[in-house]
Amino acid sequence: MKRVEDLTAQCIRCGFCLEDCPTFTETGSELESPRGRIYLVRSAVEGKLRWQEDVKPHLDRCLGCRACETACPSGVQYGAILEFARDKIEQEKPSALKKGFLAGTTSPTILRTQLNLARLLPGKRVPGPLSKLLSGETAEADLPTLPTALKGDPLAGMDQASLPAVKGEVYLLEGCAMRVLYPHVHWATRRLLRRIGYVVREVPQGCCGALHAHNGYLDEAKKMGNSLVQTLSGDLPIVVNSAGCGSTMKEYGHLLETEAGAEFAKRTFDLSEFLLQNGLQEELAKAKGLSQRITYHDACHLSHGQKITEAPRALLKSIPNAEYVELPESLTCCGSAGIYNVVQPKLARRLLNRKWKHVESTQATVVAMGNPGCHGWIAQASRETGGRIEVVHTAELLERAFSG
Amino acid sequence: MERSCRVAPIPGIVPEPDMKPYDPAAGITTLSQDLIRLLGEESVLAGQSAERAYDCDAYTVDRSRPAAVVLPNNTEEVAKVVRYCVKHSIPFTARGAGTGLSGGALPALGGVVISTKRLTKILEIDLPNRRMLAQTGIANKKLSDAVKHAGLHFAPDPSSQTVATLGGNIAENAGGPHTLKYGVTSNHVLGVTMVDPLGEIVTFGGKHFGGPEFDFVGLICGSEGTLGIVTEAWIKLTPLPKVVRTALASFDTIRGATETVAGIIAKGTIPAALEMMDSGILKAVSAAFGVTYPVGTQALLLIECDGDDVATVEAEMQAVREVCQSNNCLDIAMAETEADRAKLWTARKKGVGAMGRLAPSIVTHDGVIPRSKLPEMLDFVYRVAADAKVGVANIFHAGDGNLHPCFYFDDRDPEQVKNVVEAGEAIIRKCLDLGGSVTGEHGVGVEKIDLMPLMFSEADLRMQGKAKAIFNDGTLCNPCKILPNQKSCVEHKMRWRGMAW
Amino acid sequence: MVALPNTLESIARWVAETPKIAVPSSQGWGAPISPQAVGVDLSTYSGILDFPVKDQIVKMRAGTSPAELQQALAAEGYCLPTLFPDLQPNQAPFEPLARSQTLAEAVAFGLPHAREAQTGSWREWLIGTTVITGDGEIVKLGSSVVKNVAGYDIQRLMIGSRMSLGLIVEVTLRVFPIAALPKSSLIVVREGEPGAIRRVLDSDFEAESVKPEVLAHDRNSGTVWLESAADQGPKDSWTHQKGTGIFEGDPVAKWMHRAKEKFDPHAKFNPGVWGIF
Repeated sequence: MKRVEDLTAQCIRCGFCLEDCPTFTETGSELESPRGRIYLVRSAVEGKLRWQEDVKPHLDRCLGCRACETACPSGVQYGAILEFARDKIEQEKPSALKKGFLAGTTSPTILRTQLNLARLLPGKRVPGPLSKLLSGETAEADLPTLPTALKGDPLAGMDQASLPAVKGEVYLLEGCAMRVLYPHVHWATRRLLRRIGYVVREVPQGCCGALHAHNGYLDEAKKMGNSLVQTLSGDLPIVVNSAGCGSTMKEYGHLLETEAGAEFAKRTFDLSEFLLQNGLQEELAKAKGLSQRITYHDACHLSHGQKITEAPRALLKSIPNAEYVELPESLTCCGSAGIYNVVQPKLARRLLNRKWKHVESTQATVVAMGNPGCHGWIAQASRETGGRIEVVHTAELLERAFSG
Repeated sequence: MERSCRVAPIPGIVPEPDMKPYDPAAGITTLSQDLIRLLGEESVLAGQSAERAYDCDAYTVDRSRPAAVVLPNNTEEVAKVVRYCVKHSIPFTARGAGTGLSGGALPALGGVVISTKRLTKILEIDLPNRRMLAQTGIANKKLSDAVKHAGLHFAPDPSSQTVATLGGNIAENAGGPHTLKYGVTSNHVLGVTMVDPLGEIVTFGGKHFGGPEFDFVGLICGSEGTLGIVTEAWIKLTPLPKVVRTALASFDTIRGATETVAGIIAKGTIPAALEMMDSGILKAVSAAFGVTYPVGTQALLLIECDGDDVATVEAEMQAVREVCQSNNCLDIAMAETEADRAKLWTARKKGVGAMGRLAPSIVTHDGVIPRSKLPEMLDFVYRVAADAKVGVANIFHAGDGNLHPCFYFDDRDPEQVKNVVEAGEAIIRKCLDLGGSVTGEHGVGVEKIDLMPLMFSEADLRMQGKAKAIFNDGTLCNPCKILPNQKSCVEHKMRWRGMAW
Repeated sequence: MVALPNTLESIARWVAETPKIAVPSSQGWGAPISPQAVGVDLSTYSGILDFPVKDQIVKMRAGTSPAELQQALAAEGYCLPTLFPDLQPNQAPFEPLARSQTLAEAVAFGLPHAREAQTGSWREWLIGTTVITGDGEIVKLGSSVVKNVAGYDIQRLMIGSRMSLGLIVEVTLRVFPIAALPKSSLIVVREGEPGAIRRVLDSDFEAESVKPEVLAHDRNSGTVWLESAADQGPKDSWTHQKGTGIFEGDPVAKWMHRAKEKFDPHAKFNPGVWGIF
């Protein structure tokens, strides 16, 4: 891992990141900007500021969306600086509650149990006292509800005659929250992969560690990462349909500091890029299509973290009979940002309102995206406004173009 | 780093008392509570982290901490804060996006930083008359974005335009690549609403161009926030050209490129933009933005011609092409699509930022020379850099004769810093010898304050002091900027330097 | 009228010793100047000082006539991009610049022209001046390069100052290639002597340009030339007239007084020309 001193020294303070930072444009405060935060971290590393009192509140308010990295002409690795600093802060003074919350979210068993228990609670959000402890504010994010379980073979019922021969196998990252909350996205993913000639090699697997890395638990993240590298060994491509996970996995070389991590990163693909590279557009041309007006929201860890903006658009635009419209400010974070909407509800809500206003302005009937965090958060805005616009994962929409 | 004034300060340019930095401990103890009472908790930043985050702008060599930062939501709130500061003798400094390159937003004597970043509304768009009224904390680019659908734009386009604010552009009289044809900021500002240094809200000019009174708008443009805090401005909107042609010409010698620039201007052509990048910057730019160019390229010219009909623009481009060819250019590539063009401009505009890839620190100079002297001047720049053993890259507005030699170095090595400072001064002196200016668009700020006596006589500077005194005869509104006046200039500079990491 | 001495130093001495100095407009722009002031003929201090063609700038003594300047520029293919390089005889009354005797007057009265919308005006062209202060100091304002932000742009304050802040003795301008001149859109309605020139917004143009007192108008620059000197137009439209233009009580008058106090504390230059000082 590069020394944090060198990472922060790469910032020449030009300020070109400011207008791309959602928390800066919302607050106007440079303490809530990438340039400001980098300077705070640098000062704390040099012992000129205190991590907890001076730096932490501002890092807590960072979405980790990394839009600043896209804007930065100097190539400053803001994400790495942020992970380092959050880790430092957690090591110095661990937050048991946040860690507990994270553990609950990233363990499928605990998450399922919690969600079942949550049904017993009144209301649909994190209870007031708990939210106050987590964020000091009133909760904004609805608790997720458990979807009905999908049983059986996802590939059942596909028209075998129209499918290409199987070319090979891939791994599919099942993820922690993803497999509990969005099993139907995995279902669609498996079918789409089959449509371009790939089947999934099923292996029991754990969490990728992304949420831990983003929230200041680098050691845990490393442990999880190393274990995943072991589990998904070999040379099969690894397909990921969760932008946050994919982004971290593509940076395993840096995070794990191992050859195996770097090699693993090279085999990792976001679903959209894998589908595009392997000919889904040609398959789509033969599909029934959808008569929908579609727009697309860029998940930060896809656009800024992985620099993928064109692949999902290219695929969505290839859906026959559908009309594609661009979403204004599509590159701006929706406020979900991992667990941000739980720990910073107020700012997250402002960003969600801003995002939803733009979604409504497109007059689309459906908005697609490639990350579970955004999915749940933006879907909440849809529910709150009468559910006229459907919120889906890109994979679901693409699969619907075939199977209706 | 040791630093003294390179030129002795000239006392008495403005009758100012001996100025001391504001000491929060000795000053009013309830400063942040008072400000919160005036503006509300959400609009006041105080404490160690705020002091650091606002201790400099994009000119990072000198630093000075504010005692508090405020983010007012309207002109009245700005006025309230200014009146409070005046009442308690607290210095105050306006700040936009903090992208300035001369320390114009440095709170030189501490005190209160007044940020315009909550003043981001467009208040009125008058399409038939091509006018817009906007608050000054809005980013420059957003002004153009708002009227793009009507085929209009705000012409000044400094490289930092995606973030730099309208207010900052007015304060520094910002330029940009297209000012070659369209003129600098002051040519596009028709009226301003300003909080004067005593906290009164005043308005000059308006929707109309000119007026029978003295051109105070023209004076306020480029006054670096020393005459008051502009909170709203009427700006002129310019039609987007119907036809644009952008070319990238590569040369295997610097001389070939500089002779071409001089040749294009001498021919009587005025392209919309005429920008030069040398091989030093190309390394960073190609790493950052993937711009490609022929092997052996020592210099690139980015040339844009625009207008309302194809024939005229093509003819102009043809004239440009001939000059390039007569100077043995390696290649001229035309931007084929809008995306190609956008990519070239991104590379140009973010080029200086990309230099963070070459070294931890950069210092960019901003001298101007008569355009015919460009070949001679650039030879000089490279010679000086070689003698001083520091890296230099050039990315600049060649058509205007506005140089931006960027020295890249490691500021942790005092020897390198010293060499960079000396090399910079040699370059500025040469600019002045050739009949030029110490700054074309970045402003004097604190950075070039002691270079002013090289360009102006005492009588000239006293006259500037009088201009300042029309609005500001105190020590509170953005002190220690532009005029090398302060008796304690040397001590202040030492203090600012002491803040450096 | 006295002729100016022929060196900057001797002009400066003369200014220092003279209590009140009048440099009136040759066409009667502005309010009447106090008869106690000594009238000065700037046109004796004329001549182009430097015209580096390749830099597209020109520096001259301020008494140089616009006609002489245009001639010198034209010889190299350049001009000041006003109407008058190709002025028709019937258009002459509408180009006060062409009829002014000195560049100093043109700058001091900020004379408008019919190509303003396309080619800009003094704020864009004037890159530097030399002025003599009331104390007889020779002061350089601006620079001689096309882009400069060193110090306050006091040269802009001199434009339209009606020579009331200092005596303008040298002028540096950027010049314009003749080949790039746009077509004029001046329309002469009838012959006459304009007493006021008004710039109007595009949205007000139609209504303004059909008024009976209009002598000529220009759609592109939104300018109308009026027979009458009285300002009867919309309060906020810019009027250049044979009169004061500014009144005590106008919010801006306070600032004009302050500027006057700072630059010309003894009210030496053109006393009366503003009506307010």
